Amino acid sequence: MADDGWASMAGRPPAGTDLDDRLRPLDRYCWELTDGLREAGRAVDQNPDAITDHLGLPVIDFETQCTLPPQYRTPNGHPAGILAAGASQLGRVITGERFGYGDPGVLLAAPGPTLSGLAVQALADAEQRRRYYERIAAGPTWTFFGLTEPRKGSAAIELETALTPDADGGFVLTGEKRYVGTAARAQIGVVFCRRAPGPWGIEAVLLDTSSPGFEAELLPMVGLRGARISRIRLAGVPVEPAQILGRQRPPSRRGLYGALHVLHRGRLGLAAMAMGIAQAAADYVRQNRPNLPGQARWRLDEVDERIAVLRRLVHRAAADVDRAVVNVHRIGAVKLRAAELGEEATMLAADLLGPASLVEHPWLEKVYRDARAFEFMEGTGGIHRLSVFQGLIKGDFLAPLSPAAATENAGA
Amino acid sequence: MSAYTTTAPIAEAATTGLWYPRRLDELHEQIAPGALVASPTGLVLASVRALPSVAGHPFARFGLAHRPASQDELSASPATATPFAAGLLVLHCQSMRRLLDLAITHLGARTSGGSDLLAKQLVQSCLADVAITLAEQTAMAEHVDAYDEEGGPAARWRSHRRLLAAGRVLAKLFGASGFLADGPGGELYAAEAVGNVYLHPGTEFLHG
Repeated sequence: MADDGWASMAGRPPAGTDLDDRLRPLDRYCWELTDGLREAGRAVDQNPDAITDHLGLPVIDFETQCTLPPQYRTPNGHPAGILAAGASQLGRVITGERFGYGDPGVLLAAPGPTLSGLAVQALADAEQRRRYYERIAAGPTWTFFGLTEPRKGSAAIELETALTPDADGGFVLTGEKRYVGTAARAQIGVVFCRRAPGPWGIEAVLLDTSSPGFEAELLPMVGLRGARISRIRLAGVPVEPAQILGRQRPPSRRGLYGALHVLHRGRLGLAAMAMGIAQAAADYVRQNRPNLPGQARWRLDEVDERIAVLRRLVHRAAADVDRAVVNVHRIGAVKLRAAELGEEATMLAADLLGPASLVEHPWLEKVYRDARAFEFMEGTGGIHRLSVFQGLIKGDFLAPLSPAAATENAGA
Repeated sequence: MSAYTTTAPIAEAATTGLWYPRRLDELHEQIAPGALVASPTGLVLASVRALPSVAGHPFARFGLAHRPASQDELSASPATATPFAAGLLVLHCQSMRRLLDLAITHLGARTSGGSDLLAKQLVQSCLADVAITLAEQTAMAEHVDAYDEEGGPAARWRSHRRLLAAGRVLAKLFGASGFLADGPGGELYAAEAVGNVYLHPGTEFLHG
């Protein structure tokens, strides 16, 4: 019977990082919480709605608590220091990788604020926050983050879903969103829409999915089925002014600002989960083929090294965010690289485990499909490459040349 | 004199001291003051200034020369080989870093179809891939402890190979000028040749 690799990973510190006294316990705690995650992952892959049978997993409660503001947390036995560490951006990527190692589909299927919570944190006024978080804290609540549209894909800034004034001082929302996680099963969520032309004409609206005119359905995806990727149709959904997030803010500090705030942070979380998949696939091979011949071992060692380097860069980018330094180019780079590594590691595992490995190793078959989702979530690799290029030209991606080298280049 | 002012005659390129060979000599001096570091295969590779007596090998076109290591150099090797190998990766990264900036300048000055080459998405994507690889390998090279384990030689070789592959992409962005012996292609070749001598972990790693 195939070994799932857990035993070899227990307690192992993540290579490529230097976690401090605050983060090491978090990493260890997350590791302990992942018990049962793969069994739940198998069930959720069979039927994504089976997540409701696994809400008792400690990992789900921990993830929710970490993403709630402190005043709404119910510690439920989680140490306060660890919860606080898990709430930082660096903590988010540490938990993301550990839980991604277990099963990212379960994480994405779980209730909680997720990306919509980041939008609320970035934009909402005090009353909007109160209503949102009280609802989340009251019991399992699924949320969604509605940005992508069928005809626009990664060009979020060109979105067309319309927020139009009605005769009573309110608005109606009309349009379509596609590839939105959890939307077909959520109770509330954030929809990005256009009230006026141009980038500052974008608004973020907090919606209840029971509103008239809101309709969502699951889309059949190849993998990562726990994400419950959905299509949303908005046929004249009524919207009160109080549902517009941060409506008192200047236009440049709401809608689009909020979307970008979420995407930058969400991309780091996705990078961490994809790294978790890559590491899990590599460990799985080591566990099941402990005596690989030279070339095969060579290829596997190379994957391990690339993950360790990437982990260092992901942690650096996350620590920067915690210092309020958001380098979109570096974030895009690690997200695209993590998505690539997840795919490469799972493909390598299928190679090294031999013919029919996808039949003989059901866990590999699942993760082999799941890994592919990370390419298109929150910006494709192509988009991030162009962002890296822009950072390179602006001098924001690589460390600058030394003065001596710059002088030499200037004369070349 | 700047590194790449002209397509200088080979003899001149070999004697004026290009960027990479100069830095290679500095690395020898840093790791083994007053001496040269031997490779695991028993060779010494340095600039033609440091080893003028063996100029004439094709390596000389890239400012490099080699000879068998002396007994003293071989004796010192266990202590110097690992830091020298780590230093070679840092040097390779530094070379790539400056050539990347040169590539951007080069591409911004050339036009095709009414726009400069830097505006082409395919070119932007290639530059981004090189930059990402460089960021990764620089992070790896900065943490030499990552190489100190048993698998260090193999890890260094793989890092070298990743830099090499990114360098080939970078050289192509210079067009035919990327193939000039005294241009970026020549500098990258020098880094490849030095890596081949000093960083190759042995065929048992590859075929074992």
